Amino acid sequence: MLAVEVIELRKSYVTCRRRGLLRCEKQVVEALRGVSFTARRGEVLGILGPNGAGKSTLVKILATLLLPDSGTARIVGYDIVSEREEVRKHIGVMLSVERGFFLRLTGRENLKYFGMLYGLSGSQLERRVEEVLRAVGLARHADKLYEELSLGMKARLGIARALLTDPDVLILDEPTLGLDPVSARRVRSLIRDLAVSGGKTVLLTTHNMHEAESICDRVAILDEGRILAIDTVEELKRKVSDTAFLEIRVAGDYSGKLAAVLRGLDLHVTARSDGSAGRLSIPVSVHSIEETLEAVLHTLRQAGLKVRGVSVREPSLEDVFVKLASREVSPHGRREG
Amino acid sequence: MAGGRVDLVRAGFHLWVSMYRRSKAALLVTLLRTYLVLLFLAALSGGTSRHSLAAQALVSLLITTTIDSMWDMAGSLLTQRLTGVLTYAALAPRRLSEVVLLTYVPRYLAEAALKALSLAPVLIALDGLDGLVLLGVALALGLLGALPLAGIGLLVAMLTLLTREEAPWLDWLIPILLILSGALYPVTALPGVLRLVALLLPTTYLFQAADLLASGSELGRLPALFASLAATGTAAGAVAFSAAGRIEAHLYEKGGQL
Repeated sequence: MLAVEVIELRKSYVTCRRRGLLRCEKQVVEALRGVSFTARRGEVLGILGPNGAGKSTLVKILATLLLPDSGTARIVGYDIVSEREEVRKHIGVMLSVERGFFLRLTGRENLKYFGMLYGLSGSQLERRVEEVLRAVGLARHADKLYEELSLGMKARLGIARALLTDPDVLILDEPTLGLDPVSARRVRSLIRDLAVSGGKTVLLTTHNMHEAESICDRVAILDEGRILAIDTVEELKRKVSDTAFLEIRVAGDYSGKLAAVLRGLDLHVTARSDGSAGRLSIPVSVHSIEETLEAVLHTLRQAGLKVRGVSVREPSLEDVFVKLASREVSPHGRREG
Repeated sequence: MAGGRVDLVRAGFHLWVSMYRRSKAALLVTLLRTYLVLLFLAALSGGTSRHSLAAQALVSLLITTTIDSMWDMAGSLLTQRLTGVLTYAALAPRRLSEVVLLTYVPRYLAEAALKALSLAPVLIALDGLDGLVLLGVALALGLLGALPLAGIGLLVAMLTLLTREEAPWLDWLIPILLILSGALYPVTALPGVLRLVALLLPTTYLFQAADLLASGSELGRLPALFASLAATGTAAGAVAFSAAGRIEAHLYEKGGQL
């Protein structure tokens, strides 16, 4: 069974634009325009998109906090509209890094409160609170007031709350927003671990390309209420750009030799000196990286050049996003559809 | 059942005990609130005899355990929205209105008991054991009277969420309620239609009972007033709770402030 199944979700808001004191011009904003995707058990699915793409609307609908206009979604088989209470038993939600707790309660007291709201009691509640505190690495800080915790700790406490009922699906809205690099890395590692070791399905929204690239099994690119593409990061890159760059560092008496050596390979090569070493940048098709690399290394060795380092720079997720989003723009600068 | 109503009441108990443990000042303010109202009533009436002071102490308890519940309920909901807690409360496998109302109940009961306790020394000093009995009657009236008012407070707070504003609805509602219930002028002074409206309001019976307690006369009418208060209170509470449920459904549909 799929952990998450989303079919043609649509949601519009009517907003009011003030025209004078009493006049109001109504505008319909289409936040989601037929979003469909699925997520498997134990998968981290990133929903990547800029501000206003519809990420938060999607998350709120899946978290049963907002009803869709049409379409449906199922969480571990339960319909988010007709079986809302069942869905809530199977999801853990974190919608903000910094808010959502009582400031004058400790982390442990806050978790106990929400545990009781979500139906835990007695020794089961006590045990579960301790388990989630340990899981997020907050056991030592559990008796600090919420307002005394650092932002990174607050984020982890938010994840701890999401884990209280041991849910199948975690829905996390920008879980590292505003965190310093160390805290952000810790939260990412925790999320990845929850999916890999804990078997949780994680739906994660972000506009941080690096985050999506580092922890997501697949990424859905959402823009203006539509999913532009959904696949593994590698596949997305391959789909939008077939060019990667082989970066090779060579040492030895390379001056003057490189261009001649590589001419026979029929590749466009740029070479530059970097102190006592030389660097080669060779554009290659992503489909033939291995073969090209082998040929280049063979040629360099034959010419007596020492290879000190090789790296492959593939198109980044950011390149993918920009390319996909720009495809949606018509020549007149208006989004199509 | 997971996420049952008892769990919600227990959660509320845990929340408010934890809050008060950290906020001694809040506890002190709660205990002193009855004396602030007593001071206000004494200043208004000008009567400082033992009997009138005891009566005013009882009315102070009634006011602080009933009208205050509206403010507390609405304030609690809005505070939870501002701190972002409401979103996670809404994720409990129960209706949001139930969550808000039932987690508030322990706070209400504890505060009502504390307020009664704070006035006990005054009433014992003024009226002896009779004072304590009257205090018990006033507390019972207050508990009964708070039921519909907490419902109205919830309804008002939900309306505030729906309109996406922090409009001070209660500033308007409470004076109207006080006028219609005969708290400021006798109900008989109201025009005919409004007198009919007054009959439907639980607060009318609450203030009539308060008058009896204050005057110490016709106490035999108290059971009838209790019954009227219970009947109209249950009806008003049910209507308010049902209306709050409709607003809640609207919030889920329109994307309110959850």
